[in-house]
Amino acid sequence: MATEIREAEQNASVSDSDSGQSDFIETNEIPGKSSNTLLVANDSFEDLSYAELNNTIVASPMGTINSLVKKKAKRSLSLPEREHVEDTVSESEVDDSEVETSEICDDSQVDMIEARVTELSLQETTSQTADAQIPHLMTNTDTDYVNSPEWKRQKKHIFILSESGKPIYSRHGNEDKLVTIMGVMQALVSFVADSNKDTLRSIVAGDHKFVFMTRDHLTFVGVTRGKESTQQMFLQLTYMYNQVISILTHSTLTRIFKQHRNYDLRRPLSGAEKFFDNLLNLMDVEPGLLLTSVRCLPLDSNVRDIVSQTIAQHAKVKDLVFALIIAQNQLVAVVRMKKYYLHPMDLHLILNLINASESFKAAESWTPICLPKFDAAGFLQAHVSYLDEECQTCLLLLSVDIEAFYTLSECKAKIQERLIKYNALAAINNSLKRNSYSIQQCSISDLRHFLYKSRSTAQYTSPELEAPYNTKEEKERLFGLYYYLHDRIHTSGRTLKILFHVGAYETLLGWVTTGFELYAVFGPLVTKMSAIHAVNKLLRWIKKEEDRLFILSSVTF
Amino acid sequence: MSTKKKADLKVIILGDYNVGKTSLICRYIDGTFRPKDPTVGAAFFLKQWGPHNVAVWDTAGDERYSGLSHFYCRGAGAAILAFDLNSSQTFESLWARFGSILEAANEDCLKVVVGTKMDLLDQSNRDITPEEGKKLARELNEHLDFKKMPHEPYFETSSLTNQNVDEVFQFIFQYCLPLSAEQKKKYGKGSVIDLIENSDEHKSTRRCC
Ligand SMILES: Nc1nc2c(ncn2[C@@H]2O[C@H](COP(=O)(O)OP(=O)(O)OP(=O)(O)O)[C@@H](O)[C@H]2O)c(=O)[nH]1
Ligand SMILES: [Mg+2]
Repeated sequence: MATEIREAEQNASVSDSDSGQSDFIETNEIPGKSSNTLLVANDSFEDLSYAELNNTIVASPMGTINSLVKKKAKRSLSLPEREHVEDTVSESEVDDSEVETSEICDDSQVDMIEARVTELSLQETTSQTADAQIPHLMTNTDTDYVNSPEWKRQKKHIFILSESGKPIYSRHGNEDKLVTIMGVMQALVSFVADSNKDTLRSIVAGDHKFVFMTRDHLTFVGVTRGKESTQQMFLQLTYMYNQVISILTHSTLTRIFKQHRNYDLRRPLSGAEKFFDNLLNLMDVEPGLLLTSVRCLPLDSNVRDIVSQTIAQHAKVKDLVFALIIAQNQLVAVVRMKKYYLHPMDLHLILNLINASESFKAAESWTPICLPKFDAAGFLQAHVSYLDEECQTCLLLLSVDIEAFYTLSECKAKIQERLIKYNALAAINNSLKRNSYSIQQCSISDLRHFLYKSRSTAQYTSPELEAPYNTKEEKERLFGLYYYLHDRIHTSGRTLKILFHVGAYETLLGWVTTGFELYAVFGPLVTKMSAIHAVNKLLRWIKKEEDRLFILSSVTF
Repeated sequence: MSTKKKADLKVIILGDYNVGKTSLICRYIDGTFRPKDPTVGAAFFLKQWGPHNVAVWDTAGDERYSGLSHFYCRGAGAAILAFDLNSSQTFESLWARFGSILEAANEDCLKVVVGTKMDLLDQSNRDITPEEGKKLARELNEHLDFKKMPHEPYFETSSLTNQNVDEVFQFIFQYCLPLSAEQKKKYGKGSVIDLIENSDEHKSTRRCC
């Protein structure tokens, strides 16, 4: 890197020469630490690898949702009254009923899609022959389009294609016009796979990186000339894959391709482009996705307690797995069923669903969502409603029971009424109106911005983006610095504990321990010593504010 | 099951994506027409008709949500089958897609075929004639006694110009939950207001747009 003046990397153990071990925070004081888990990410950024792709998601009938529904089936079967069992099968078939009832939730949907698949396979073949007859025409318009300055100007492209090279999604431009280029991508992937029994992961050409990921008969390709590393691009492609699963479920996806290798996935995904677009836009502005952690809305801890207790009390209904309140992409409260945790990557899919769907603002809604980390095999049903007139504070109730809508609608009314009565909704709105916090509040000279992630709770905090990082270009540049710092710390062979980097316009300090990750941006002239002192001061400040910035206690139903 | 919100009638609206289902409901409920985002999943509205509560389910036209159809169709007393008057494909879908879905509805479910976006229609160059629409409506309702209806269960509407919108809902409500002239007078124009507006605790949280 040309702008680098000097750089020091070291492990914490060797860096204590002048700063002194005493400057490092003691473990029991880690800000935002909690043993009372709310979100759970037992996999880290380093764990993300190609090796994992083939064995992570196994659509077993023993998925989490199935076991929950099974429990329910058992419960209802054990009830003496027959009417409670109406949806299950006769008692003589108790053994089978476990399997059958467990399919209520997801399989009706699966069957529907399958029916469409069969129906459409005929049309498929006809359209293919039509395409084959006019190859020149296709190729010409394709080339024109791909060579247009508008398309070339884009900083990051993301594509999804099928194993046979059929375009499914493109972030920029209509995927119809990209048939040729996607064919080339698929050819590259297959060539490496066929001739060397190997996997194509990335190509670096000039300032462009091409990153490939094949999973469940789908190929995801990311092309960037931004600061993301290949591993970070791989993470972004993983989010895209998760988004596909979230819409279709893993079971449906594999079933579709088992039956029709050539199936046009755009059909079941029609209307879902907005979720992909929104997710990609979110990735460009929201560091939580890179850090696989979420940001909480700053709130007095007693207000937050009132909110979670109110939910726990008034949404105590069977089959409700998670209840959460979200405001402007920040987490306000989560209440969960005992033994079940929400994964931050799943939470980002939930945030994306809310973020991308204006229609929830019109009325109480009921929609399926699959959370791949929770259970990739089936859908949860989400009751979505806004609690305030401005449609800022959103309540989500996630159940395994597709019939639970009316019950949940009543829960929502009660929760809303109590939160208004206890002024909690007003407190949330106030917090939303105030900016989160300014870097000045930390009163640390020369510290310009930071990201702090508490690993045990998978939550992060950071101050508002202020001057000089208030223009689009500067925000993007700051994000680039974080990408760089994050990548250096995590993917340079060994995981570094501390990284001090002096750039042309700012100095960076990254520090990773088992308890936290800190990425700090200083003015250009700060010394290593003063930076280390500064981050220690910062950690003390975060510690002081932790009750407001993090959710430290986990409430269950 | 809910007691407080238990509705006396469930009305659902089905049809291909983008035909204007949400616009129709919002035009009726708030009297406005604004651009709408595609519906995600299904959305629930509660309305009052005289002394009765009516649940209105707006549904997403996107096929990937068809898994929900069983849930919202069950117990439906009336279904609006919406198609875009300017697109014969959306009319064909009413047969192809929604016939089987509606088997989950009540046996005596009233099916009302509603053509949308009348304002965009070039009357001299129609894809679907009113006769075809009426024919479909009659076939779907073979089980019902047409003599009880003041009108065939077929309407051509525009949410933009508010043409025939109220008529669709009045027709359904009056058929399923008949009000006497006296009752209608008593509840007056206010018979069609949002229930949530009625509870004094939180006023009009439901804005359609
Ligand atoms: N000109 C005109 N446009 C209309 C009318 N009704 C709806 N539209 C437009 O048609 C588009 C789709 O309307 P929606 O109400 O969202 O359609 P929908 O059937 O609810 O779509 P999904 O929720 O995706 O199933 C919007 O851009 C509306 O503005 C109408 O009566 N006249
Ligand atoms: Mg709609």
